[in-house]
Amino acid sequence: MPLPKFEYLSPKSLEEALQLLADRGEGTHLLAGGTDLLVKMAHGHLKPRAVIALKQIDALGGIRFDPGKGLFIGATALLDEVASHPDVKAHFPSVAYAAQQTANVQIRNMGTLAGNLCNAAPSADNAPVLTAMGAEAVIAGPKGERRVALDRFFKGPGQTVIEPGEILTAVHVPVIPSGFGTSYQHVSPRGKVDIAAVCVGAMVGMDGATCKEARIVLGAVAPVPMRAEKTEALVRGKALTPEILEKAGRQASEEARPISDMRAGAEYRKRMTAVLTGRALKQAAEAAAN
Amino acid sequence: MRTDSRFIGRPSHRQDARAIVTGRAEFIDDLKLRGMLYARVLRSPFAHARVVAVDTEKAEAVPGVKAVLTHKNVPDWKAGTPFHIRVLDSKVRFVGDGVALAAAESERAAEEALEAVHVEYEPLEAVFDVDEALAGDAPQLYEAFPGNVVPGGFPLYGPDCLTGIRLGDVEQGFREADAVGEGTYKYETVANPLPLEPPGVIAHWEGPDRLTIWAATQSASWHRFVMLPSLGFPDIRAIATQCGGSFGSKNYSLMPCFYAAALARAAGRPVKMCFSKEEQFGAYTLRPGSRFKGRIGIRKDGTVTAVSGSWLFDTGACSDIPQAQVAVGCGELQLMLRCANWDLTGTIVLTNRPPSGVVRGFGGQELESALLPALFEALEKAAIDPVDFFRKNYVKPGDAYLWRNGKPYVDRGVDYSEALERGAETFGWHRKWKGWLVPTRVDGQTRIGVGVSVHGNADVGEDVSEAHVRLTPDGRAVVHACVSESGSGQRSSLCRMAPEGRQLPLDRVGVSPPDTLVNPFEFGLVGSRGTWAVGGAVISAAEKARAALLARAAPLLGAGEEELDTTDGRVYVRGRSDRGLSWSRVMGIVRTCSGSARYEEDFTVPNFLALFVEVEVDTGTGKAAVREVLAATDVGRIIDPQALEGQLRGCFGAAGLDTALFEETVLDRTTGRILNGNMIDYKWRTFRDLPGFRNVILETPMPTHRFGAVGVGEISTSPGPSAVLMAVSNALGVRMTGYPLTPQRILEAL
Ligand SMILES: Cc1cc2nc3c(=O)[nH]c(=O)nc-3n(C[C@H](O)[C@H](O)[C@H](O)COP(=O)(O)OP(=O)(O)OC[C@H]3O[C@@H](n4cnc5c(N)ncnc54)[C@H](O)[C@@H]3O)c2cc1C
Repeated sequence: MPLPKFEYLSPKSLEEALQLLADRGEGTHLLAGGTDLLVKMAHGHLKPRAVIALKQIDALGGIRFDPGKGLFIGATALLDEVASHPDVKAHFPSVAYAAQQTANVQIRNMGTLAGNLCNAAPSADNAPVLTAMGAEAVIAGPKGERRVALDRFFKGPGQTVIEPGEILTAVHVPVIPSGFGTSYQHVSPRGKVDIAAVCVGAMVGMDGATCKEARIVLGAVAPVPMRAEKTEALVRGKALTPEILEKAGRQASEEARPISDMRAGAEYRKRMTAVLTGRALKQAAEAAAN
Repeated sequence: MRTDSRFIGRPSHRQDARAIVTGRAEFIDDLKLRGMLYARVLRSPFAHARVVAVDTEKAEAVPGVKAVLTHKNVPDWKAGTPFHIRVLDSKVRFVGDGVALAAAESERAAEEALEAVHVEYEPLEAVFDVDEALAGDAPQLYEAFPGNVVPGGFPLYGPDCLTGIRLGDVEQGFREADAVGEGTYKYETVANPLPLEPPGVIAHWEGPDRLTIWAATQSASWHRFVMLPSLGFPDIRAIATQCGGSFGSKNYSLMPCFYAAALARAAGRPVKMCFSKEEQFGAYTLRPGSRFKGRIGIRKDGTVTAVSGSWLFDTGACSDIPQAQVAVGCGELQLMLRCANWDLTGTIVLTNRPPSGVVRGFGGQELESALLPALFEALEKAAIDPVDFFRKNYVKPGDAYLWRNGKPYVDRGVDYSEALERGAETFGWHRKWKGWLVPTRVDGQTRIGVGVSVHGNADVGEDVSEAHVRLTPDGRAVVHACVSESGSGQRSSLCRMAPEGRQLPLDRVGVSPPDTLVNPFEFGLVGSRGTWAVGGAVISAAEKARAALLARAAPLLGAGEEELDTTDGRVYVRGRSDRGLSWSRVMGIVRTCSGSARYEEDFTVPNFLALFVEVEVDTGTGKAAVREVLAATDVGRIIDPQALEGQLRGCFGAAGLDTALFEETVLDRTTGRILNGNMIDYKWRTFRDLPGFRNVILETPMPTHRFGAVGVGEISTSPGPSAVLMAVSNALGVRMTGYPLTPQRILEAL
């Protein structure tokens, strides 16, 4: 199917982009890698009047790491750049791993991590672990810049807090404090290249065998990636024994609110929430120890 | 004996490789004729309904539209076995069945026209399960097929065509059995062979009774000779374009041909009909469904004493040539199960889902995947190692079997025990096999298991091929054989065989375009027959052309023909290369030397392939994954090592081994809609999922043709599903009985 007609704009600076966004108004969409946007357009689900490509804006590119301030992933940084960046791999291994597990080579060489978050699929591979790590979206708009933690960023399938006229410029990931570890776990019932049926991101802070802090985020089991707060409370202050991990899994699966679709039944999703939560906590605790 | 060729068995580039990777190969979608129109199809949203009214007035008024057809004004052509498939019918029988056709200056205009067609349906009750379809009160798909059963027997295979296997005395056989496996097993993933390129054709009427069809096809002659009787006109010329994969599904593209030919006739202009990916998913060829209900008895020593049961063959909404698939499947089963007592009945059943048709594995994969679980149960009870069982039971020289035409044949090929044993050793079977339902290894939540299955086919010598080889004075050879290129590289392999060894460099040998008008008869690249049957005709023709050349040269060189040899466009006295003449001197410039030959079918040399698989199952998530596969075979002689490797690796994907795990057409059983008819939701193995893969290929010369080779292309997939089922059962310690082995099913079993 040929794409419908639309105006294509390719600003060179953020200011110009914000101005164009304000001028063109409704029906204007931002384009990063286009792996979500162009698919929707090709299938006729979306008929934009104007498309603003972000690729030419240097300030939105690149990945920066500062040992004090943490990691900044620019809005046009490709999934593959995130997956293979030495600093990301060294200091934020689960962030690199989640990006590496997203889609396939072709998509990772076109699609961006920011686009993955802005697209706001409940199953987005990069959302759970970033949310668990307290990452925030850096958003520029006519009134200046604001920052929104990812656990308040998603509003529903395909919906985020980004207002018309705003652009996400970067994702900021705070430094992982010492004694903390992270993990990303996901499963799709068929094959390795598939949208996750369930995904879990976790960050735990350990004091010896005892878990003093835990953040657990479940993907693809609710309209948005969700914090499993009761599960977090359950493990806080406890040694992560096999029994506790199993209990935590059961608790997480109770918090999950999955639907049944082509990819998996709700029952399977609940069961996998339990399995993956246990595995994520275990792996994060092991990472914290190292 | 290996000095007779500088090409056979050595790697070299496929002749079309460069054109494909540089985008210069011409596929059907690249082809454009003057005045050509584009066709689209309006498809039924109902699984079963009567078309009560259809109004095309608005559609005809859409600018650029040249023809709109409905069941009321299409030609009365019929196809299928027996004839019952119409171009369009007043009844629709699956979601996606054709209701109206449009041809227009652009695809967009044709689509707009169809959007303007008004249809009234009277929905009817639909049936999606073979047992339900056979029940007395089931909705009936065709008046001509009461009870939704299509009669067995494929006319081309003669009056005794196999519809099952009836031999000996099964009652007596079961009395002699030490262990019996029994049950109902389903291989009903109705996977899609899904070649990269969806089907497409162009139809052009050159005269009122002359139709030319360009088609993406694996077997051009099927259009000329299979279509001909049903269309009721004297002359079809079929031209095969470069074909982007087929896996059996594009032998001929019946509905695209019907649609394009009907529209081209109505519009008086050539019409291109290329199916979309969605149409390939929902309205083209699916693998048949297969359900076996029955029993198998064996003795402790691995002798099969009896096989009895009912094989329900689900052909979907129409019957293309399932009778042939039933016949071949029954033949193939006898090659792997030596048994004196049989009572197996095949029944072809219609259901309201998109139609099944020809898919590689052609009956055998379907039958074995559903029946072998019963055998495995018996082997488990008798504690017999499956490798020992297959070694004992696989057909051996001197053994007899009934083939597809119901006639008995005696195997005059080779003993494949050695290929099986060498495969087992290389795979590490004897180390990894711990007994039935015992995992090879358990590592936390990961359980490893192994499985093996075999398959063989006496189709490698089936049907007829004719070829003609022409030597030209400038030192070139042209092979005239109606062979299309559907991905296996057979056109290039024929060039290796044609110059019979050492005559010409490969770039001096060409093959004629696959066009039925200019070539002798060729049945097509089906059933692994390319190497022996097609190759046999080409080799004989080449030898005759060579003999003609040497006969002319003999008096000029003052030597006997038998003393002469020819290399690189020169004829010379053997051992005296200085006493020679160039071909141009021998022939002059206004002559060619040629030879013609015909290959007649021969069912006496079966081929063989064993697949060993190792799987790992995550008992937490229920996911099973293949870790390693080993294919063991004997091909007589390797013609093209890379092409062979490609064929063996072809066991994955395209409705092969992976139908055991995730390749599945998922049908909504209330509406009849396909739920995963797109490339993201329909699961295929990707490069990230590729397991380890090894081959063990023996080369024991076969009594076939000069190079002693047999083909194995088609059979690489067939043992896959049952081998994976066995491996997963062993990993879990639970006997698994159905496909696909989804996480859901595995977790339930635990
Ligand atoms: C074959 C295939 C497989 C896939 N597999 C996976 C998978 O396994 N896991 C997974 O999570 N995803 C998968 N996806 C989805 C997709 O690739 C990802 O969501 C990708 O990261 C999107 O990034 P992009 O740069 O292509 O976004 P785009 O398509 O350019 O944009 C996505 C959306 O975000 C908006 N947007 C983009 N940038 C900004 C910005 N800076 N500010 C505000 N809004 C913005 C766009 O307007 C659009 O609505 C797959 C897609 C395909 C086609």
